[in-house]
Order: sequence, then structure tokens, then C-alpha cells
Amino acid sequence: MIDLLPSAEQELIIDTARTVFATHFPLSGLIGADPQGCTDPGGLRAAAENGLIAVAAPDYMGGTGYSVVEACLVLREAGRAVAPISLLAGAIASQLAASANLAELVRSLATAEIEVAVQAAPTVDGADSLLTAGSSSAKLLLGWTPGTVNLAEAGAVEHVLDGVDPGVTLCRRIKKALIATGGPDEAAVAALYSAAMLSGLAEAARDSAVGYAKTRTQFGQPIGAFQAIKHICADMALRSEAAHFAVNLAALKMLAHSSDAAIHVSAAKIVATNSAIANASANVQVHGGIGFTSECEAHLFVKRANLLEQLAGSNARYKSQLGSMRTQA
Amino acid sequence: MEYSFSAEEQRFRDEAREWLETNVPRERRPEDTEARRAFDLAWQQQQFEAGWAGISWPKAYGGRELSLMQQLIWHEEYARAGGPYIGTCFVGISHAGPTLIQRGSEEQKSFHLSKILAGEVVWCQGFSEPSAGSDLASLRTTGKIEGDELVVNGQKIWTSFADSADFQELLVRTDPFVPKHKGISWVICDMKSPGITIRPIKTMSGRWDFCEVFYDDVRIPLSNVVGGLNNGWSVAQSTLSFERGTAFIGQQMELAEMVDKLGDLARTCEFEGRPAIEDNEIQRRIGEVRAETIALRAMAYGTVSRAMRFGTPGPEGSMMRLYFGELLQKTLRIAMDILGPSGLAYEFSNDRWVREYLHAFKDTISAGAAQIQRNIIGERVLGLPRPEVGR
Repeated sequence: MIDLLPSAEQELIIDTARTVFATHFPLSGLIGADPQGCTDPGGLRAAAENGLIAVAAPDYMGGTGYSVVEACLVLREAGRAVAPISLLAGAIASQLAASANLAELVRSLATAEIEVAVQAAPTVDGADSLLTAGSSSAKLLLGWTPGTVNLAEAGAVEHVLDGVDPGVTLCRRIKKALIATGGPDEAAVAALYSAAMLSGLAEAARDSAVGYAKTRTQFGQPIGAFQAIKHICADMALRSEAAHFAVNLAALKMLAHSSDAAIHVSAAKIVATNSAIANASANVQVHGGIGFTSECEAHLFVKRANLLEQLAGSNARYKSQLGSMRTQA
Repeated sequence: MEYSFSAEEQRFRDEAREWLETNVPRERRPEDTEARRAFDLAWQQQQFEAGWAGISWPKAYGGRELSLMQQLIWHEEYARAGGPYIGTCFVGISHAGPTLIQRGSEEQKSFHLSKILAGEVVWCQGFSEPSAGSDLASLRTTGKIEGDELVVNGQKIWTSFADSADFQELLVRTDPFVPKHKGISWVICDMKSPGITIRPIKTMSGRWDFCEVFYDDVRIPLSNVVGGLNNGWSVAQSTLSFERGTAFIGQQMELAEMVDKLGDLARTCEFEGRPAIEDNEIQRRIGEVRAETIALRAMAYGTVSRAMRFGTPGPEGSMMRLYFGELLQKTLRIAMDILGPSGLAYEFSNDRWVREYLHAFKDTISAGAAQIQRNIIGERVLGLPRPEVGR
């Protein structure tokens, strides 16, 4: 049986995630002069209480006990809400910890007792400190490439940068002792979860544009009636649909340990990234003048999409990987 | 959410695979008009005799009435076995036949359906006209009632395989005094009728796939009207509800194979003094279309999932087809860039890529132009309003 739509139980998980994230991480919190960013501990605690962080880690270790499929559903909702990166990092880290049998760590991550930040760029100039994205109170640092993942202790924050994404603290800190490492399979989880978040972001940008196109009137009618705007929105829908099902299929393949799971994950990552960036840009365009301001939500999607591409590893590497392979499994 | 095959589904796959591997014709489908009609009908007949014809048709009409999952599996195995393009049998099996099943009279069904299934006849479609493409409802070919006959005058265009066809599903205007959608009739036209002239049109890819058809006082019995006089528009719409997205899987798999072959092409062709595959940009472009081809497969599964859950296919199906057309063109554009000067003349060994590239221009035009698809997506999927005219 092939079914890429959520079951009734999965719909409940989606609804829970959507409600919790919309309540605790409203977009309005990121707009304006003093964005709360990801420093709202109440939000992460609420996510933890609802089992929304370590979704796929086993319940006997303190995780929620679902699979990568449900984790993707939750992370899609996190993307839709432009919710803190800590959620993505926590999901990947808890899974890595679970594979390494570090039950205590899984528990601490699941309860949001420990937050994780993400390495945003490789070390430069032999410098000891790395560029990291995520809460400044994060105790752990996660980094990955298409083939490796590692989780390490995070040193003190050396310098907080003037980051572009208002919902993410960008800083320099030192990476300390390694706690857990993973190979291609664990790296694929990171890529897949990033893709899930990006697919939610792409959908949010689409919905933002469509909502605006239905209410903004010019020349006596809603601008969505005009083909130029309508077609921009249609293309956003197209990209969202592709990203959505690519992520779902990749998650199912990973769950089944299919021989072509890695290819599906890379494909989902590429398509979801493209969708998020293109949709975020198109959404600014549909919003016209106000889309250009920092008072409208549109810029948030642009900035988060750009950040997520860098965190997850730019598309270039994944495209080269898929481009040089010989036959499709 | 699920991606797994039951033991029963696996057994069905094995059965389909075995039959297809043994029986799929090894020869290439001919290009010549008469030869390809014979080829298509022979293959249809072969499938019919083995009980594989009309996989989505109800058993009551001689079809196999396979479940959606089984149809999906059949199409996967068909593509895997390199099954030939359905060609001249397309309209009969996928369009006219299903229309007759849903709206035909008992007499029309018993006369036509078994012949279509058994590979005895070829059907073509007489819908579009020079002045009525995207705006099909504005069609002008007339059908005037004279006694118990319709007298048809006018012209159709883009009629695929008209020069091979025995019958045509024809839309004519039978009432010019009512709003345009309400005065159309769907009639069965015998292509041997006196007064029909067929002019083949050469495509930019050098193929002879479609024609203009001229009607000069062509007489059609009123008993050939399907679904009632002036109900033609609704009859034509009913055909669309038949397609569940399963057949599309085969197209996606062919595209996936094309991307693999593109990789091979990039290994054998030189670009700036080394194999094209070693050029970063070409490698990444191939990687991107491979990713999008996989996403397209996922979209196809998503479409079938919706059909299985909700019954009728929604307007979301438009998204899959639009994505396919543009992805196919994007893939072939990479091929042309790899070929470079060797893509300039048909004598060079990679002429098949060039012809495919040229032929793919139709994929964002036929069966609903991309711009119309975007209107449908915008209005029916996203709920955006239609424009108010005259502002």
C-alpha cells in the first residue's frame, strides 16, 4: 500500500505541533524592533512537554517513541512557524544520542533541559571558534556534512554577531569535547529533518502570499484575480507540493531502510531548499511594497530559508552527489 | 502514511512483471503512419488476449477493474519492461472508451467498447479548432439537425492520429443560440464518412503525429450523440474524472530513465576539453533534475493517495502534469548544452536527444497549456478569485 497522506493519529500530532508552535512562537514575536528570537524558554518547555523535540527517540530513553516520519511532520510545523532552530537541532541530536545509546542525554534533550546550537560554517583561518546558530544558552553544538554528524560540548559564547535572521542568535564559540559522532545514516537524518523544516517554511510563504492576494485589492478587485499574481502563487503551490511529498517519501524510505533512502533524502533536501528560497522570494514580491519592510512577516521566511540552507549544507554538495551517481536505484 | 507492499500486491507485481518481460515487443515502435497503427493494434490485441487490456475499465465492459494500487504496480512494471507508448490506442482506451462507459447508451457501449479493448479500432479526438484551443468552449464546428442526422461543417486541429483512426470523439455546436458551454454535443464520428478531409501537420521535431480535419456536410446519425444533445461539455468533463494518476507513474519512470541516460551522455560527450560530467555546473544541473524527478514520483504517489482516500481526483493533479512538462524541458535543455555543436544537425549520432528536445515543447502546451494549468491551480487549489471582466 502506498499512502503519502497522514493517518488520523498523525493528523493529531500535526495539529498539536501546529497549535503549540503558533501559540509559543508567533510570527509577531519576530517582527518589530525587539524580536524575542529563540530565547523564550517557555516555548521550548511547551514543545518538550508535548513531546515535540525528541520525537523519534525511543520512549524508554525519554524520547516520544515515534519514527522519523512523525519527526518530519513535527519539524514541518516548526518550519511553518519559523520556530527556533533549537527544535531542529534537538531532534537531530536526540536521534544521534539514541543511536549512541546515551539515554541520559536523550532525556535531557527531550525535556529541553539542554539546548543545542548548530555549526553554521566550517572553521575558518585555523581559528578555534566557530560560527554557530541557535540560542546563546545552548550547551551543545551540532554539525554535519552530507556524510558525517557530530555533537560536541559548546564553549562559552565569545561574540554575538548582528545576525540577519531575527529568530536566531548567531555567535562565535569554541567547540569542545566530542560527545557523539555519526556517519552517512545519521547525516541523512539531519538532511531529512532540515528538508522537513524547509518544506514547512515553503508552505508558510505560499499561504502568506495567497492570503494577501485574496485580501489586497487594487484596480477594484483582489490582486489574486490577476493572472500575473495568480501564476506566482500557483508556482508556489507547485513547489510546496513537490517538497511536501518528497519529504514524506524520503521519510518512509528511511524508516524502511530502503537501499535508495539516501538518494531520496538528498532529493528532498535539494527540492525543499529550492522551494523555501523561491517561495520566500515570491511571497515578498506578491506583498509588494510592504513585503519589502521589516514590519511584514515576508522577510522572516527569506532570512530563515537562507539560514537553513547554510546550516544543512548548501545545495551545491547534494546536487553534485546526485549528479555524479550512475543509476537511480 | 505508508510505503510497503502486501504479499498479495507483491504476487500481482510478479505476475505482471513475468507477463510483460515475456511479451513486450522487442522491435521499436515504427514511425510510419500505417506501420505504427498496425503495431499499436497488435500490441493492444496481445494484451487483450492475455487479459491485460482495460486495466482500469469495469469488468462489466471487459476490463480488468484493477484496484488503484494494482494499476500503479502495472504501470511501474510496464515502464520497467520498456513497454511501448500506447500511441494510436490512447484515445480509445483512455478517453473515448471511459466516456462511453460513463455516458454512452447501451447500444453505443455494446458496439464500441469491445472493439476498443480488443485492438480492432483506433480512435482520435476532434476537440480543438484553430479558433478554439484553450478556449475550447468557443468551438465553431456546427452540427445541424436534419431529420435523424447531424450535418457537420467546420474544422478541427491537433487531432492526433486522425489519419490512422476509424472513429472520432467529436465536439460540435448543435445550438448556437445558448451560452457557449450549453450548445455543444459529443458525437461519435465515423472517420470513413464522406466529406472528411485530413491534412497531416509536421511538428517541429519532424514527426507526423497530428492533423487538421475538415468537415464538409458530413452526415452523422443522431444515434451517435453521446449523453444527450447539447450535453457535450459535461460529457467531455466526465472523462477527466476517470484518470486517477496511476498511468502517470509510467511517464515519470521514463523521465527518470532519461535522467540516467543524460548522465551517460555527459560521460561520453566532451565539454571544454573534458567529459561533460566533470564540469561542476553540468553535474549539479543533472543532480537537480534527478532530485526533481524523484520529487515528481513522490507527487504522483501523493496524487494516487488522494484518489484512494477521497475517490475523485482533485485539481491537484494539474500540479503533477505541469511539474512534469517543465522538468522534461529542463532536462532536455541540459542535453542540448552537453551536445553543443553536435546538436545542430540530424546526421550526428545523438539526433534522438535533439528530436526529444524539440518534441518536448508540446508538453507545456497540449492537454492544457501551462498557463491554463496555473489558472486552475490558482483558482481551484488555492481558491484565488477569477478576474472580473471589464475593469
